[in-house]
Amino acid sequence: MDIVITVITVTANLILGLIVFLKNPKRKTNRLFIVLALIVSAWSIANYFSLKTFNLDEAIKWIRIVMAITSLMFAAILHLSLNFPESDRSIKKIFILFDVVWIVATTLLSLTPLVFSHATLANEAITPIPGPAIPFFGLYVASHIIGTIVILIKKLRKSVGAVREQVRFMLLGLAVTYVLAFITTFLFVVLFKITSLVFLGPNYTLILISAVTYAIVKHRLFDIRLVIARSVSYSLLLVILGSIYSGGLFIVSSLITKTSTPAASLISSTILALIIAYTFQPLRSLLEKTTDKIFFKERYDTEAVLNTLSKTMATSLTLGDVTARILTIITHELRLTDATFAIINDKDIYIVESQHHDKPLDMTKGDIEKMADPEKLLILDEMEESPLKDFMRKKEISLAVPLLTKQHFMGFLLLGEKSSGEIFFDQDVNFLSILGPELSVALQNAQRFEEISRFNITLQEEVKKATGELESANEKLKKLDQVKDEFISIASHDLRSPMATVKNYIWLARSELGKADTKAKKDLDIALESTEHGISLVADMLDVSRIEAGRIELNPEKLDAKHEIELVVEELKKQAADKQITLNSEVKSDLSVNADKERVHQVLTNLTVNAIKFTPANGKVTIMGFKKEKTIEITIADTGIGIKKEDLGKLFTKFGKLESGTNVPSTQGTGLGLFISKNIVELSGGKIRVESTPGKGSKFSFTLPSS
Amino acid sequence: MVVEDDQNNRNLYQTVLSNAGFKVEVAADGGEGLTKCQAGGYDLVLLDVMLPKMDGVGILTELKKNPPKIPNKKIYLLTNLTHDPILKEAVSLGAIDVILKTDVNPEELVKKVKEILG
Repeated sequence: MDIVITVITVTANLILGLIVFLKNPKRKTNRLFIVLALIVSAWSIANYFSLKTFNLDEAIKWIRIVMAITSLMFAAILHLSLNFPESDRSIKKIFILFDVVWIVATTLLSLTPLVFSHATLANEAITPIPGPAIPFFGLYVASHIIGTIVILIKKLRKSVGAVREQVRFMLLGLAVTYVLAFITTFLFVVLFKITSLVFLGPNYTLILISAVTYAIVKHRLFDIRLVIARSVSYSLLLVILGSIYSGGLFIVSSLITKTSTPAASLISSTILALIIAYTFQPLRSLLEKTTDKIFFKERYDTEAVLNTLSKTMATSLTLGDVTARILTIITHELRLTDATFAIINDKDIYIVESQHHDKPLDMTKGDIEKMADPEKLLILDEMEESPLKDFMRKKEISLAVPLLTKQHFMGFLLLGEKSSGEIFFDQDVNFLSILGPELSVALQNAQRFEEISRFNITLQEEVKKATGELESANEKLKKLDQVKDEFISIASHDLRSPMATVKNYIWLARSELGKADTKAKKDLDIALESTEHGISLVADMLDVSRIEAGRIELNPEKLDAKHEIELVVEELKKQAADKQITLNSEVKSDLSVNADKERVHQVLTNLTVNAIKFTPANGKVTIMGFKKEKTIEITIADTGIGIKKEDLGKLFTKFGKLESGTNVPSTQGTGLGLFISKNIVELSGGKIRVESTPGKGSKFSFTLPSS
Repeated sequence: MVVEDDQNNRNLYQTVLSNAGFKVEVAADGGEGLTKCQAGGYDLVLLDVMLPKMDGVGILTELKKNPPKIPNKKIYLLTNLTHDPILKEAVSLGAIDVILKTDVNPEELVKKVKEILG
């Protein structure tokens, strides 16, 4: 049996040693490790032989060899600790030299009878008898064990991330090995005089070697706190259940001595078994929860955090808002020192940092693009040595989550260390792997939303600018219009002034002529008529320009249209009579209207003059007025030449003078009268229309709002 | 009184109105017009609007500010401006109505003045 255990232990140790060594033969740690593995194997073999022999002389030789190897083994462990996982340069060389001398001295001393003088048989077991130098050996071992532990604890405190975890593994391995070895080879031997368990010693070395191998070889170390936490919880569970059962049995047995019925003992055992069966599960989960709370203060519920983040992403719209909120949640839940978003867009890099970021991350777009490995998370502790790893170390980035959507690579979520100095465990990696793509989509949405908002703002500004330009252009146009209006007003005034003088003097000249000068009088009448025509043309042009500029002003007042009609009849009666035309009005009722007096007069005069103009001798022109519901209608009817149907359309247009079929001299009308009349009527809130039968006469009607 | 800057028209109005039996005084520009109007006492002032030195509205404004001791009974605008905002202003300042120069020949003017003065 002993040989089997020894062979397995030695083989396993050697294989592990080789694995570590081959992983990186140049590394000091790995070299020291294989040395340790060899020493431990040698120790196991020597131990086997020392226990196997029954010859006292042979036994003491083997025991001395075991002691020599033991001294080497503690030395190797200490020096491995010094260089694990990296060399500690703070140790002065003089100490190393001193230690080497001490190691050599102790090893050589172990081979002499000074440590173990001889062996005797006691209780049928070979027992070595200590020599005078045994305290020196003890001191050596104790100093090296304590030294190792001190070195490792110092390293544990100083280290962060994966190193911390590696040191923790080595410490655990050492602790377990030492404790078990102490129990079986010292406690049992010295206190209970049981040496039958000594052969187990080599097995413990396997624990140490395995733990260190795992720490060196594996990249992402499993969380050993879980092992510790579970061990503690199960130990407590066993103690509690054991106490319940033994306590229960004690009570039962004391009862049995009194009542002594086998049935009662059976019942009580059954009850106890039931209690244990029912309490086992809840008790276990209670203990696990309690120990988890102690060992996993940093633990978070992946699903809950992802839920919170999803909600945040769904409710935040702007890039600044969503990134800031996500950083707050992540740094809090994962207990990070800091976290940063580095998002690249077309030209630039957009960096959002978490709060309490003491050193602002100085990175360029180029840096990010160099880092770009959109496939997986970049975990500093697991990366091979490379310029990228150096860069990340320099920027204090422990983990980079690529932000990648189907279309393109957006940047990184860069995480600093954990505040506790722990590494990123599987839970973190899984969490971040799920989070990455979700984040990317959310950030892209936010980015797009911002682009649209920016575009909207630009658009609004453009519209505002354009509107402003239009407004100022409009303002200028209005001003121009006003200037034009003033100009036309002045121009018409200035044209009219000489015409008034001409008109007056022609009249004067005519009145000064004798009765015989009929020819000269006739000539002057023509001159006078032409002057009148010129005057009305100027007046009409002024009106047209005002109508077109929309600047014609009406001053409506309450007035009697009947009176206006009669006035026009009065004014034009002579003109009609000259052409042997009868002009009269037919107004029965009172025609109260709300309109501009002068303009109504103008329209009436225009239409009546037209009627007279196009009515041949012996004809008739009648002005009629009717009251309708809310308007009054005035009609000027004549028995004139009428208007052809095809000409009716252009009648009210500018210069819509009809040449066809009229025998009226073209100089007699401006062609603007109907256009002006139509506009005045419409501006007053009325309508104008015409009915005509060629050869029979025309009827011009217009309405005005009654007051 | 006729305030009229065009000499020909001024002479004509003076002649025609004098022949009709009215006592006529004339002023050739706004300054003279204002001085005479401020002296006051006219039964009728025919006031042109577009005048050198001071326009018709200016004269009306001054008269409104400092009314003459003996008031002028009636002021009519005799102008060639039509539907101009300036006319509305003049009417608001005390002118009774507008006579368009081109609308009336001398005979008609005399008739109008006779009407006005009753």
